[in-house]
Amino acid sequence: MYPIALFCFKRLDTLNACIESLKLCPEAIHKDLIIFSDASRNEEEQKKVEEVRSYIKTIIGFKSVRINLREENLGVDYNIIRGIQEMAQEFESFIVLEDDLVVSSQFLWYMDAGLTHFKDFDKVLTLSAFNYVKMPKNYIWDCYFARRTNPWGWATWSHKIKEVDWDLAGKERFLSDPNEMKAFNAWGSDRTRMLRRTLIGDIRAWDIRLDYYQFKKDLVTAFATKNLVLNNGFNSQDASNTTGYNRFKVDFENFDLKDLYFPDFITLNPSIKRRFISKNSICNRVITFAYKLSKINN
Amino acid sequence: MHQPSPIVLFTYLRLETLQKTVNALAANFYALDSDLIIFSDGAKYQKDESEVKEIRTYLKTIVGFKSLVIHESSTNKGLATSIIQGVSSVLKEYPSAIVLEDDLITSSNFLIFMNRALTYYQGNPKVLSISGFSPIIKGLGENEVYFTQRSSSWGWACWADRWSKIDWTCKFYDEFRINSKMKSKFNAMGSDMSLMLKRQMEGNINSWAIRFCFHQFQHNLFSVHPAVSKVQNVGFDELSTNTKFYSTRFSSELDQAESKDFCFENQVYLDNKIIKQFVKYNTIAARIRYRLLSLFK
Repeated sequence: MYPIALFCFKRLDTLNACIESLKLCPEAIHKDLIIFSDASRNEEEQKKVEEVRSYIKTIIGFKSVRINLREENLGVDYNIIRGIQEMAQEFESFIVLEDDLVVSSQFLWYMDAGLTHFKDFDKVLTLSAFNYVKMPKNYIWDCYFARRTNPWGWATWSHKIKEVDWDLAGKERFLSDPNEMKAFNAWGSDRTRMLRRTLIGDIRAWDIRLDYYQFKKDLVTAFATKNLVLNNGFNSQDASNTTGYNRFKVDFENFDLKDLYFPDFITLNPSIKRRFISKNSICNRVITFAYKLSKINN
Repeated sequence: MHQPSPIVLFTYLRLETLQKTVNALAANFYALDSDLIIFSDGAKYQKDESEVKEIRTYLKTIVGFKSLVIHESSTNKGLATSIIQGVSSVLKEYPSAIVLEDDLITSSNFLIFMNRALTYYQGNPKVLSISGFSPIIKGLGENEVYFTQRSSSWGWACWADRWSKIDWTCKFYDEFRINSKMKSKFNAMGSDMSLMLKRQMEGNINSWAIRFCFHQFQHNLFSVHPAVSKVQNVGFDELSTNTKFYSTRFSSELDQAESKDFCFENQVYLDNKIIKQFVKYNTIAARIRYRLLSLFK
């Protein structure tokens, strides 16, 4: 069915774990896997990148494996942004993974079902298989909706993602409009700061750009109600954007029915929203920050 | 008589009540001239697969109708999705349809009533649906009809042109949600309505009927009910999907008169005396009373 785009740089161990976990999905054998391998910035990195590149040539277990070797270093943001644009040119919809993720054996099954179900829902921009929110007892669906994207194991439709303005037109206005900055924080108080830091070049996040587009257009992401993705990257020396403490630490969960139940309309559940936001609350971020400090002092 | 509307029947696991439903239908006048289209939902749990199989074996043996078409779903869709998709597909081919679930017993003049009402109200844009069910209502002649703004899901009929206009995503809800006047107005047809809609929109239930009624409310449309019910629900057993507790508050007298002539009324309006009786089955007090009763059952 839908192809997989996998972005990697210099982390061989986590990339290997990612590929092995994907191969445990029964659907892997029917999938086209397209790998985008970023180039190194210096000699020290070059060796690691070469190791990664010789490994990806050996990958089997998929319907096909295609490798895109970047000739110069694009950075984690533009390797992904361009990769998404390239995928959107060629395919109708696709699944996106990065080299520090491990997926559950239900991951591809869930993504395929969700991509099929929500294809014509204009409001649903992306689909996420990562979830850290515990569902309220009476909630009946196998996905919920949030006005925030997730970069860890997601999928999208080309006709929707092609519309994204990755260069963030209107950013100057945004940075001088307190009301809009406040509104952007409605689904997590970390977002405005993240966008500001991205805009001034402090960090190289690509996903906040997608978030901003989603916010401007009033779109949603459909999240799996069970977690099907783990992030392996927090303890790696070679990680690009994540260091140390992972406030989203969760385990795999299983969907135990043979059919998935997706709603035919957008539901917004206030208690899910509350739980969703609390993970990105100031309090939780202070813990993350304190953890980083303690690591530096050691 | 022109060609009667097709009968669309939704079934899942209840063979015993399904057989009662089919037998009662087959005993109807018009049955032999009506197309029967059945949607059989797939099993939700592995343990239910044998029962679904049994149902499907039985379905193939049904006789007594002009034609029989069976749609077997390989996946479990749930009732709401089955009905929305199933009725939509039938109404692409037919101008109207009569819809039943597998736990409803019909009187022998049910099909006549539904078909005559469909013909009579076809040109009346104020009427969204025909209901075969009615709670016990006093003060009406036995062949008369009355109007409500709450369509019943127990034996009903609708036209393709009305059905295709329904917004199942309830976009109007965003506006409705913050308007307490509208909410209490929606509750005029039963104090459970607004809460049910809220639960639907927050993902705690999946009901096609509350969305149907919400559309009816938004556009100020009416349902036609018979003074004496042509439908009785026998589904309050442990196997039913959406009716979780024992309830007698919806009990009705099933029409035994076999009348074929009905006094349809072209002037559509709400009669307060009748609405009072109609909604009393859905007042909070009635719901608490019957929930308590069900505990001791």
